[in-house]
Amino acid sequence: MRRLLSLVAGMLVLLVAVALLRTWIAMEAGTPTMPGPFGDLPVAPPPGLGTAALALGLLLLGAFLAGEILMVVGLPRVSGALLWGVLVGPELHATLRLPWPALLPREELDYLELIDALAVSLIGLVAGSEIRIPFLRQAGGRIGKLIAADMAGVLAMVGGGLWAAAGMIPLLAERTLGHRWYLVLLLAAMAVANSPAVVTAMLRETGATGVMARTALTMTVVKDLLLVILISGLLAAWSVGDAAGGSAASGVAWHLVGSMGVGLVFAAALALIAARTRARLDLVILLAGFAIALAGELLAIAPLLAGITAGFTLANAAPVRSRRLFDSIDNLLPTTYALFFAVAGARISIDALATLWPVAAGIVLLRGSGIWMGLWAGGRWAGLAGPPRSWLWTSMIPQAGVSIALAAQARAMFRAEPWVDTLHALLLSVVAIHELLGPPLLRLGLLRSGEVRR
Amino acid sequence: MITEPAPVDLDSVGRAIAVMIVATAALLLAFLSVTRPAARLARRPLASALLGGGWLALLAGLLLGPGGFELLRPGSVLELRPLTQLGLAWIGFLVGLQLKRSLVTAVPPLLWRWVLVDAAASLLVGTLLGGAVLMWASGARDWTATWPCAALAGAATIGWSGELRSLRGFDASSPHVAAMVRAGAGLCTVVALVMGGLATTDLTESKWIVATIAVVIAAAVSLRAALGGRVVADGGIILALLATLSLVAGAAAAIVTGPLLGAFLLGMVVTNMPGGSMRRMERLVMESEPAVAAIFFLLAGVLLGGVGDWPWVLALAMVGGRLVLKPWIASRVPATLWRDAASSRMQAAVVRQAPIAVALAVAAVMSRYAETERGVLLAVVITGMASTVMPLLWRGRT
Repeated sequence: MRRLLSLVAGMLVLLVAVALLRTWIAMEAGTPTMPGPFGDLPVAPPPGLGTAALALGLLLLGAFLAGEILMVVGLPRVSGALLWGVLVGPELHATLRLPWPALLPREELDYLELIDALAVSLIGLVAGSEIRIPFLRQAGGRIGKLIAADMAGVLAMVGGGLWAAAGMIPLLAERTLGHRWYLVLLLAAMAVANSPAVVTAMLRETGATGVMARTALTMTVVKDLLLVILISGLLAAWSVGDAAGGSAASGVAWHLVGSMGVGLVFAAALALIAARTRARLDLVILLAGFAIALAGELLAIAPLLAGITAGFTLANAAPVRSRRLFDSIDNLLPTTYALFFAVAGARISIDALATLWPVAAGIVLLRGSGIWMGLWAGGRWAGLAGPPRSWLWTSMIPQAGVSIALAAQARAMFRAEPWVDTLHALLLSVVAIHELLGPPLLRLGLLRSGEVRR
Repeated sequence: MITEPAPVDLDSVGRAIAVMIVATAALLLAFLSVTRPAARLARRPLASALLGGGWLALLAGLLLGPGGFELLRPGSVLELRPLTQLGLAWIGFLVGLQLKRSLVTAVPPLLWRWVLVDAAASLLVGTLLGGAVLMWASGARDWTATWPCAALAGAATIGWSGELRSLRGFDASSPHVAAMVRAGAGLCTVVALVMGGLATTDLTESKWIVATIAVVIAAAVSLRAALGGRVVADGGIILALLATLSLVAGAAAAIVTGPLLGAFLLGMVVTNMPGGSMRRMERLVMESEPAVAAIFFLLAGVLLGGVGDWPWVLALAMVGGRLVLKPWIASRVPATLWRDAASSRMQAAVVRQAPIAVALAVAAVMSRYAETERGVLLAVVITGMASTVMPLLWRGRT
């Protein structure tokens, strides 16, 4: 109880201090800058850049304290980070039209994108390193069946449900039959996606090891790769025949092949460094994550895919050499997760959620039923028994970064259509609900499966 | 996160390939640096001084920056402002950690006297020299616009480098003297940081000082809440530390002061707080010192260039000031320290500029990216390099 009070007090002090600072900044804005002795004026930083470190500190420290508070009451840390992001984020501030300055202005959040990409690269490295070839050889058939059943369940339930209710959903009701089919298929495919980041974070947080933990992680990573191909193909199909269709197809190909190629290059470089140096590798890993994030920016590749490829290659091709590298990531993971989930929370569109929640809630229910039924049947087909079969569905519920990125991809593809904003808002609302529901459900599932070690 | 597939920009690919080439070259250099001939080379005093002083990282920065392959531009370093502010806060925190009460009370009076005289004289001489050169170069007659950068030059003149490995042979017969020189360098770093921090703060507005202290208190309370009363893994400690330092750095940027001073105060508070997690945090910060120093020398290399000739004049004045002032103070204030000829050669060590000077100048450029600050950074870098080489010439004479 004393610890809980101390954590809450720390959080309140943080909130008050940042709120006072923001008010002060707003009052002081526009103060003229003194020229130097040469009459030189400093180059003014773009709005938000100068104080982005304040946003970083607010998100990290608050996420840490909120995560600890939720741990005390038996909920996952990542949920604490997400809720903290929602609380201090610009979306809630804008929706409630609060009279005081935002604790976390949107322009500052945008400057954290590169640091967020760094977090995603590290998450990818960890996720990839957890998938071992012997496990794939032994359980590949089972995992294939489970993925097929899960995808079939979600596509059938979400697709069928949306088609049946299309008349009540303006986004679908006002479209031609062909476009309606297409959008239903796209929304159902988007619903298949889940989150390797959440699964990796929860497995690390709980120390879970066992059939369910390994199956869940392998399924999410493999499904992620399949979905990127499937959805990118679907998006490219929208503009088949015109120049945009060709460029979308080449973009998809580059996205996949480029990401994997960059991942392989980093795997080779990291293996060489791990073999040649006795020094601490935290900084090496940090720089590698940063380089993957930068490569993502420069080459339009996916840091998550590149990270997964690098992690998978290292862990399987050089298991002994890479152990030290992956051990040193452990020290960086709490920061990585706190930042990733707090930023994800801060980006949750409360406005869209408030408007579209009935449709979003319907999709969430349909998706949940599809996952549960698909994995119930798939578990039987694949010969999965015991608690993992009963609780594996909880690991397929979370959605986060991959789904948000796919939604952004859809928005870019349909930017000329009048309904693009509604579609994007709906996709983000569904992701937002899953972001909040996913981690506690997965924690419950892991606890019930008996695989939690701490 | 999967980014949106976009048409590949050929210019970006070219830059990425160039980045890869430089990274490969860096890897190759790293590989060569662990070979036997490289180890023999590193035992030579000059090579040891340049490698240990972070000048290699500076050279790398120069090569990456506008003066070299232009892979990094000062603008791109400014884009990374949140990270550089965090790095500066890290340095301030590291320096603040040295002010543990038990250590401060154990400092002998002789050393206090030496440090205080050196700090006062260096600040005065450095500020006067800096102010004179700046007023001469700019033709300005208004001291108010000149004094922050002049005071920065003064703060950069305080103290000396504590690195003695490259001066092997100077201190073989005087380990006590070497310890005093090292301890003095540490204490001078504290004074230089405070003076440099104050130089970048508008002292006519007391509200900035009040705000800095308030943020530090809030950060310390939150840190205590996060880490106090239980065992926290290293990962949790790193998270809490990065978070608190970002908060302090961001607050400093918001209230237009440098991040060094606030983080220094936080370090001072933390080092005197009880708790096992706090001690582990100290250890983690100390271990990171060489890496953080190398990153800042690299940044300094990228930010150099593009200013007039006056920084060379300022550097000449600063080097001359050091050559005259430092050995003179060292030979008179702690006069009893130099009992024999062997130990008196250690006086040469105090000519070398302290590494904190580069961090102070980088902090000034990051908070106010203008010609004057960039010029002072160039002058500080030149002074640092020249003063590093000088004791080795002294060795030749003795």
